[in-house]
Amino acid sequence: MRREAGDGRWRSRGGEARYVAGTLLADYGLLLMFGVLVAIFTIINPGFLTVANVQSLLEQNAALAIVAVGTTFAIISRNIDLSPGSLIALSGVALALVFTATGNIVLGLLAGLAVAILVELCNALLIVGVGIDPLIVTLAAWIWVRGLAVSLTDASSVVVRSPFIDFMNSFELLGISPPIVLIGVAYLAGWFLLNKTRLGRYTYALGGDERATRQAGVNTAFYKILMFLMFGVFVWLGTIVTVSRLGAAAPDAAYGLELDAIVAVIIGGNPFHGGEGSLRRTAVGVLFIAVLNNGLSTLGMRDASFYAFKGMAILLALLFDVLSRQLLRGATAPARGQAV
Amino acid sequence: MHGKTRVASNQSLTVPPALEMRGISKRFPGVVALDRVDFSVRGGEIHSLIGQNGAGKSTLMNILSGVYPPDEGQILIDGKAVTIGHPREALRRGIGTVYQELSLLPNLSVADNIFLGREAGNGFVIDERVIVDRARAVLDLLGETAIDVTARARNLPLAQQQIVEIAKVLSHEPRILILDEPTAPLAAEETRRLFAILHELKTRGLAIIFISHRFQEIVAHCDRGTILRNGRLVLTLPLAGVTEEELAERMIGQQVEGCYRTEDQTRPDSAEVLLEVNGLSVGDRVHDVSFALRRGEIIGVTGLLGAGQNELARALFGIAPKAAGTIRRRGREVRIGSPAEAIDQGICLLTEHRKQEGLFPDLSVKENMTLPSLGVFRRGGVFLDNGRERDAVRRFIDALHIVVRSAGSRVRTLSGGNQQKVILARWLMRDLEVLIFIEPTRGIDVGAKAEIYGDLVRLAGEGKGIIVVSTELPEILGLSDRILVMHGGRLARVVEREAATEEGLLATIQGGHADGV
Amino acid sequence: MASDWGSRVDRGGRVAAEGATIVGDHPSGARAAGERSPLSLASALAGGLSGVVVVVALALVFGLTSPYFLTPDNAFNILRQMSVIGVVGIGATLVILIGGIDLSVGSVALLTGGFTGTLILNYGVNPWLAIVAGLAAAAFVGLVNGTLVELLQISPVIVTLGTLIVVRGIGQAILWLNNSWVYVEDPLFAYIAAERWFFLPVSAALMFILYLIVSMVMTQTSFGRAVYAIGNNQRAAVLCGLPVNRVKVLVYMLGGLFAGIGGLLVAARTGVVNPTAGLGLEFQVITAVVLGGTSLRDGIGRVEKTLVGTAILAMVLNYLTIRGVPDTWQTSVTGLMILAAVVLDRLLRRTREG
Repeated sequence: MRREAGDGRWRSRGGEARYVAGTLLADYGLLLMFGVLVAIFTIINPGFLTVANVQSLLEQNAALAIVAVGTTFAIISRNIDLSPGSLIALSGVALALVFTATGNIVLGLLAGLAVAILVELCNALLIVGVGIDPLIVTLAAWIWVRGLAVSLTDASSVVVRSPFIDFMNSFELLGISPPIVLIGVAYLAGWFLLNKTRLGRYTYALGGDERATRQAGVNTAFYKILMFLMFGVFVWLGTIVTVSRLGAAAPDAAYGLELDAIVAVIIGGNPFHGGEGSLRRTAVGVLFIAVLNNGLSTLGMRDASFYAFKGMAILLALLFDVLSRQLLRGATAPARGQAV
Repeated sequence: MHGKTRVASNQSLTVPPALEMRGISKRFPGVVALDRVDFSVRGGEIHSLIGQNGAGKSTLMNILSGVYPPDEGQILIDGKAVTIGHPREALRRGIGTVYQELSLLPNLSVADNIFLGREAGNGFVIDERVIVDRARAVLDLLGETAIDVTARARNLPLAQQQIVEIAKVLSHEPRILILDEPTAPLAAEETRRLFAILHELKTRGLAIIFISHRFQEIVAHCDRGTILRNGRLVLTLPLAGVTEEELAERMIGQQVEGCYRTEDQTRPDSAEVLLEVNGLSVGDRVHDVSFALRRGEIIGVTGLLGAGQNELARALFGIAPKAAGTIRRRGREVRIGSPAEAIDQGICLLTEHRKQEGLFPDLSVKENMTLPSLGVFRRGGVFLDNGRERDAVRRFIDALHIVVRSAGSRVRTLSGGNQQKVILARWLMRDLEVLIFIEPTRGIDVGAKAEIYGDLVRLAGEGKGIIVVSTELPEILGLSDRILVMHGGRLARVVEREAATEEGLLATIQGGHADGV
Repeated sequence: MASDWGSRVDRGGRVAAEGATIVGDHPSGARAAGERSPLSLASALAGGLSGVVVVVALALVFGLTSPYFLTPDNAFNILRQMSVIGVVGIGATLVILIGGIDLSVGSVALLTGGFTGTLILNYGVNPWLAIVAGLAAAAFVGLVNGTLVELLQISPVIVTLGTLIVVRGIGQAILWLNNSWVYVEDPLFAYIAAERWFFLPVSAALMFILYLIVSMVMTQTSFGRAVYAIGNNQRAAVLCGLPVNRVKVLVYMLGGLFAGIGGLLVAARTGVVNPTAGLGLEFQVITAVVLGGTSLRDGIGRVEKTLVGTAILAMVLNYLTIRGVPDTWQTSVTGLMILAAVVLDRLLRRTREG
């Protein structure tokens, strides 16, 4: 295709203003909704905005927050990973079984890490090496990994009693508990990787144009695999907070977590088609989902209406995203010949 | 800079050219793209590669930049024979190419684009400051101090994106720089700016290969030119004092392949007007174009790449937004906002992107052909009458001489010419009156080309109105009753067949002036 | 209109024959009656045949290693297991053919079963009317999916993920009206669960009939052609003047409709709709589609193939149960089967393309 036949998104007239508006909406639109949501919950339930509740809100959603960091990388690079929820269960089971067998929590943690990384390696090799769609590969993993977790435990939880777990659950300094520290670590590490390293740079590049990236001499296969392995590490952190919180490895742990993570990344304003995005947007999306989860349950919402309300709120948030994209579509640089 | 010091330090008396290509041949199925072509470029010159579409320019440059290997011949850089097996190898040997299509990643910054894949730092952690500084330095070298290296590429105007593209190639410090039609999308001022940069690079000793269809630029800015015609070398000449007319003459040669239409096929002027276009504007690409197409007539539309002819054709089919003007069919004004509406009005379009916009590669010849006409094959309102459908497809396969094993073959397995005929049959089956073609024979071998020309002439004879948009002048001259020449989005000139010459057309295509009408 | 074709073509034939002298001979004799059309009935049979070969081979191996596997009783079990996934798979295949995906089918199944059941149980609505209402709700979810995907251009993964959550919530809210369990004791549903048609369980017979109808529609109507065309090259379909948006929205509606029928079959088989009905159904269905060999990217595939995929999935799971493999392991096997299918497909394609 020739230069004159540019991408429709590049076309513009008075584009800068729309670009700014669209970006603002993408960056802060949800924040606004988030504020409204917090206000509503606080009015209905004055105990909502207390230190204790905010702390428990973060702890409840620590695994989601951490996994969403990995999901952000996947979405920016125009991939998708549906396996983290199942993988947290399996990695947790590995942790618990090794710990039960050896009595050594460090060995248990390492076993969990090894499983998380191995499964993601397997995903990555099928995607990069064999060339299968990431949606299919990780969908299959979503199923077989969960299945393995259930089979290895005969569908029952394995209790993990260790000083480490006690520490995770009870230690606190100035209202900061270890799971909250892990969230902080995950976002700091994610931010560093995304903005300061080749891995992050090529994550953006892959999502923008994989062919052009390869032509620039980047070993795209290597970095894609590296990205999935890194995802494995974030999943492992998610496993630690999940197992600690339950005091056990449950084969049905973190069910649907991957979907929540994807939704958080998207409603935070990261475009699904990749190439751009930021962890700040993801953080806002995660907070939104976390407040929604926590607020609805402190209202004593039953399972059914919980899902309905949650879904509605998410759809509403999605509309923000769509609106910002519609603005951005006609926006940006004034040049780039008009496309047909 | 590097080129110069290196040349100066060369002790031999006769400095070998920076690049020499000897006896290069390349064959593709059905075509000899290059036939023993010699080509050489010296350091410190801007060398223009001149020829019509299909003359072999792109093939020669693709061989040089490692896209594919030559069948015969030798490439020497600074007098040493080399092989170039891969685009990255070309870059390593100092050959940098700025391609027609931009390769910038819209969401990365200018600096990050320039150094993508070669980021400064320790191999994993990136030192962004160094990248920014180096990018700044490269752009300063080009005199482009106004470009913000931290801005996202998507936010730059096109001309600046192109300069970034050049900076990206230059950051590899090449000694040979290839530019493939870099000025096609640029305005006059931007073009001037680009040449200022090229002259600066030239004084640093770079060998610059410049491909363009604009003779004015070539004679004004290039030192030497090499003319190719039909895959053969015509000559290499210094361009000082050469006029645009001389250049055009050399490029065309005596090759006019004759007319595809015989005298008795000429349309009567009194024939019914099928399509009348008045004051049509499309975005900012086409301005105020008016013409009328009569029954039995073939109108050729030509111009430089980007002169608006493609957008004109697309607007008539409802896929480019019409900004102003009217379209009349048989005297009645019609609204054409989508392909469906165009088809309802009896208008169809075969675009130059056959694969992306025409074919269903994994469906059969039959299904490709009958898709818009399925309404006719219904039996009792719902189900299709397979027998009747198959018969119709067979008739068209025979009539158009489509070479195919059966009506059930996947279209993917056909040659380019036969694929084009399948799409043509698709619209003939729908019984449309106005057929519009954009580059109807692009990527089609010589034999099939002649067949398609034959088909077009025959269809005009049967009373269709045909518009052929093409940048291949022999095609336009050979087929058209009338020729519309576009320049800068406007209709520069209308030429009747009897008055048309290749030289005259070229002059209008290049300059846009309406001389001698 | 059709009548003057012949004449024009004949005229064309003559002129083209003259034109032929320009380039010399035309090897038109090479047009032997060789390849079959990818959409023809013959190729359907051939394609189905290779699938049937796999199914038969699996049946033989399983039968030889387990005496119970090939008994009529077990065959009926397998057919019943197949019917829900098979029916929902019809809609899923169509959606995948146009380059989309529908993750909401499990929730739609719950909604339809719950809605229909509640109408019958709480409001004494005529069961046929209740079924129509339930299926209308299902198709409406499809309409919402299709509209959001096509009009707002949101990725179908995101949209149907959203409706997966919302619709499950709405479905469960409906169930709450009945303390979260709806017993479907209507005679019509009992009939579907217990009776046989042509020696087949009614649900399986229904499945086969639906496959037959949809298969006909896909190959023998302009709608089917449009679906294949859009899936293979959407841009070209637009330029052919097809109403691409309308067709795609309609396909999403069909996806919802078949998911709804699947939900009714679940209700009939188990006699109850509970809050977990249809949970994870979307993954089983996509597994069946992929096992059948329909491609997720380029619109290549056939509805009947999904029937084969469903059969393979159901047989393997059934065999594992017979051999005493715990339920829990069967999930893993399903996941690994998807991978095996796509990897095999990819490798075969590689060798074929050299």
